[in-house]
Amino acid sequence: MFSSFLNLLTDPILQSSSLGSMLMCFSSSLIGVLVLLRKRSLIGETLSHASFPGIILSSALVDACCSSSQEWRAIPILLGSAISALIGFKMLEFLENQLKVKTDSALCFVLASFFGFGILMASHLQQIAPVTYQEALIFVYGQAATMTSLHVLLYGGFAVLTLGFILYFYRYLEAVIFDPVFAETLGIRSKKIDHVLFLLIVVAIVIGIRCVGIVLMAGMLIAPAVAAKPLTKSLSSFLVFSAFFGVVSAFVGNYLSVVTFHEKYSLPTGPMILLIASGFAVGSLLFSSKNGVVGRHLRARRFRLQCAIENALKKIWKEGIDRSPLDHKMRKRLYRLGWINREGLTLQGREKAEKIVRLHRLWEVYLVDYLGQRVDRVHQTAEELEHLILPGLEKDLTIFLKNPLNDPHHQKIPPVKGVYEEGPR
Amino acid sequence: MYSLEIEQLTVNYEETSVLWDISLSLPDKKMVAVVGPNGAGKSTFLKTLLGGVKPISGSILLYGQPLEKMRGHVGYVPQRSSVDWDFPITAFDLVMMGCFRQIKWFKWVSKKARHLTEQALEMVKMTPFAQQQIGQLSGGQQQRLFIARALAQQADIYLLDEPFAGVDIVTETALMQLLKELRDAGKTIIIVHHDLSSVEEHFDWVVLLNTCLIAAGPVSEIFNAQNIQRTYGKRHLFLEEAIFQTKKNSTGVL
Amino acid sequence: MNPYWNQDFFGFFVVLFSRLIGKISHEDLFTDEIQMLVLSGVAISTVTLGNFLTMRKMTMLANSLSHTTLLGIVLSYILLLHFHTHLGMCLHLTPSIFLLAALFSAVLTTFCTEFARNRLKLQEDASIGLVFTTLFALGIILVTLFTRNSHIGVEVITGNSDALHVADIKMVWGVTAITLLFTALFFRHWILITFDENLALFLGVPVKGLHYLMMFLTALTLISAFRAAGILLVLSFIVGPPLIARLWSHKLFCVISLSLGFGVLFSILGVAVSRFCLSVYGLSFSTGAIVVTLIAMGYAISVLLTFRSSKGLLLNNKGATSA
Repeated sequence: MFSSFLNLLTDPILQSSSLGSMLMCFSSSLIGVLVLLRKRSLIGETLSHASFPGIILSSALVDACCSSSQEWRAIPILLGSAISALIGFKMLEFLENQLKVKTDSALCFVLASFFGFGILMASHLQQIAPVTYQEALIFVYGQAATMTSLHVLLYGGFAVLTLGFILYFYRYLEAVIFDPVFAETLGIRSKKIDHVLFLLIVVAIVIGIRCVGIVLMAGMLIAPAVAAKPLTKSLSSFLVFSAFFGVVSAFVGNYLSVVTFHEKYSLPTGPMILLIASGFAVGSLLFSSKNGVVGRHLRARRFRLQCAIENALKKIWKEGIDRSPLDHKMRKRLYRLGWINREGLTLQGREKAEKIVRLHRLWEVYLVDYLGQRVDRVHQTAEELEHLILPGLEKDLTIFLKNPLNDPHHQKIPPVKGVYEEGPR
Repeated sequence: MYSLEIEQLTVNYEETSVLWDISLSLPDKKMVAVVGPNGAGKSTFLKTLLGGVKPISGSILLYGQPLEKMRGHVGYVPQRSSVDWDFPITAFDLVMMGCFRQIKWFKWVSKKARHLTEQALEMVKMTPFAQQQIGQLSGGQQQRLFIARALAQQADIYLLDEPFAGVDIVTETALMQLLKELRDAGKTIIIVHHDLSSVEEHFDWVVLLNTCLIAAGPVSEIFNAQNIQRTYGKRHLFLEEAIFQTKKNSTGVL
Repeated sequence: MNPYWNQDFFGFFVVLFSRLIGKISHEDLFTDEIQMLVLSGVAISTVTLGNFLTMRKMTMLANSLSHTTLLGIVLSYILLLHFHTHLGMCLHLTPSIFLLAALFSAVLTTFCTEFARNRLKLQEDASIGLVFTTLFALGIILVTLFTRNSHIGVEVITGNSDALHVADIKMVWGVTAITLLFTALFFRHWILITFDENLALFLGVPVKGLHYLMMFLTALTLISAFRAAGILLVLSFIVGPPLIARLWSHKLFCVISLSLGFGVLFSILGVAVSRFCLSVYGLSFSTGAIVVTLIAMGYAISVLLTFRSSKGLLLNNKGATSA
């Protein structure tokens, strides 16, 4: 299998499409990080559709003016789509700012209108130059298979450009994304950085649609970033992980597409790449140890178990081991923790129980004396808070409350060191 | 007769606000201020009373009845910032929304609803503006509309969320006057209020809230320096931090 | 023997009116008339829902839904293929496939988007963007596998107005009737949950159920428009006419009526323009795309015309001054 992986990169036929896809996804996943942080994922959808009229027009123009070789047409088409997308972006701004149209309506309107205008011209093109029409259509769903080395060069160049921009503007982007007002106080003109950002988004989209198509571009822009987010804490690692996921998705997508090639049909590359990327995204959201759903669920269960164990321990401390019926599992757990032995509480167990009771009663003092809570009500809250064993908390509370001796129910508060003299009641 | 009886109410709402073990009993026919620092849970408190947020534990009784039976008896005046003022409805339409339950489900209007709406508009002195689009009215007029909506709803309890934010003194006095008339007519008015200095002047009762209930009672008894200190002071930090951590632990967030 | 053949713009309408005055039975309908009827039907259904969707700021969700309908159609095909032995995927939409597909799409989209937002804690815009592209990609893969054909074509997106039959009229207007019926029944409810969801929740109005209903009807309309107009035109109807109407009026009923009027107007004009271009210049264009362009132009013209008017929303004109 490894050899067929390598094949993808070395075989001259497959090389361009795989490399090309990987480079495109590299750029778009980097930009996707910024888009995700700015919470403007849907703008990718609108701008990718807005580039369509540009594609059609430039295809037709290139056709009319010069019958240059196939390959070089890629450049004016790229330019045309970029200009079209930029006009779409300007329209968006105009609608939102001058005409006070709501964001989502503006996005949808520009999307539909521009794309519709593109289809209008395309329908005519279909009649007069069917070949050009078919070529322009590949941008709708993407087509990695027909990429050439020129494409690879072009997109490689753009990837380098994107990376360069991000590295150059890194500090500015960081500042502006997280706190634009603060950035202004540092003398950074957020508006200018914003313009750079949107220019980069247009570039990423325009290169990306050749690979995944107009319709799926919005997803490809953010999927690697969504996959990367739960795994990172800083902007730099975010960018690196996102790029990683993007490139790997492109590679695997291409691989799967090639491997399932039949005589009559093959699984289209664009959707495959997106599905892989989404798979990463969903997997990351579910299983990442930091904030994945599964991880959170497990941690919550662990905490509840800990509370149950501590409550059982407290009961034994208060009422003695004979009067506290324990089920088998709980008994084993307490044994394993070294908190009980055959007779009752061990020294460790006693200390632990006293620590918890101490916290409980300290909280009660705090709630009654300093927050004016009613005495008969504070027990419940303290029951929950006692399980919070934070390092400095006990010490801080003791100092703040000036080391009280009794809780509001007139029970003694166990002192910090030493064993409670009177023993369990 | 208690208008509101709350027992051990604990509420989680999204990732931020929390209400912890609130218990209080409010008499009816009172003007009540709910006071506390930002993030104290005042809006969450109102939303819970409306049934919009489900509490984790505790019970709420309105005039001795559970919340589900008393739907429609609580009128709600939302924060001005949360309303879409561009919405293409007239003042009349907005007030008539209060009569929603009066109209049979397959009908669009009914005579009774119209009548109630007209009466309500008259009471708040907004009849001349009935056909204006809501975005074309001033701040004070917009507040009056929502009060009228609660009137049309024939509510007994009125909940207002920071009604005087961003409104000038004259308007505030006029609105307060209207609300006092309603109170004198037998309604209970509960207002989330942000301005401590005007509490003594306008309100009968006050509820001091900061995640947990600091105190609730007549203004003359409860509204003193010590309680205000407890509500706004730094003593709260321990509890806030502890509740925050406990929530993180029990939901497994790192 | 199409009387519209070779007519220019005004000639088109002359023929139309003369045919309207005379008696027409539905065997006699010509392509142009079929197109007009189908597109108007789509317009009415879509614009009605579009008003609510724009007010609820759910147009991009509708965009999302429009992409997912592909998956919905494929899934219902697969499901029904188990029970019947239909051969060949020629996108032949029978009523049962229809309803099932709409149900699938609406439920899938809404459920997945909410799952991503609430359970996976993904931000709202990313939830929408990721869910619909993934589901659409899945749809494409499934279609390729089943039709053994990699070239779905752009028809999914734009539709093919020239291949419409009388049966399509019945289908489209059937859906329109359903939409209008439910809108009439639940009008007040939808307005309430749009304007003040808190109050609706409090008054015991089933907000979730009504939301799902709206999504289901949108999906139904989208699918009915599949053949005639394609996914694209429907989106244009959802946003365009309501936006235009908002420029002209601020009263709810006026806005809705105007938007419906504009929708139907642009549909008919679109067919006329299409015929005109073909007859006079010999240029053939997709009718759906013409309508979209007309809507955009209509918006631009309305902006220019209402710019200084006091009724429009462009001027923030707060009339009253005192409390």
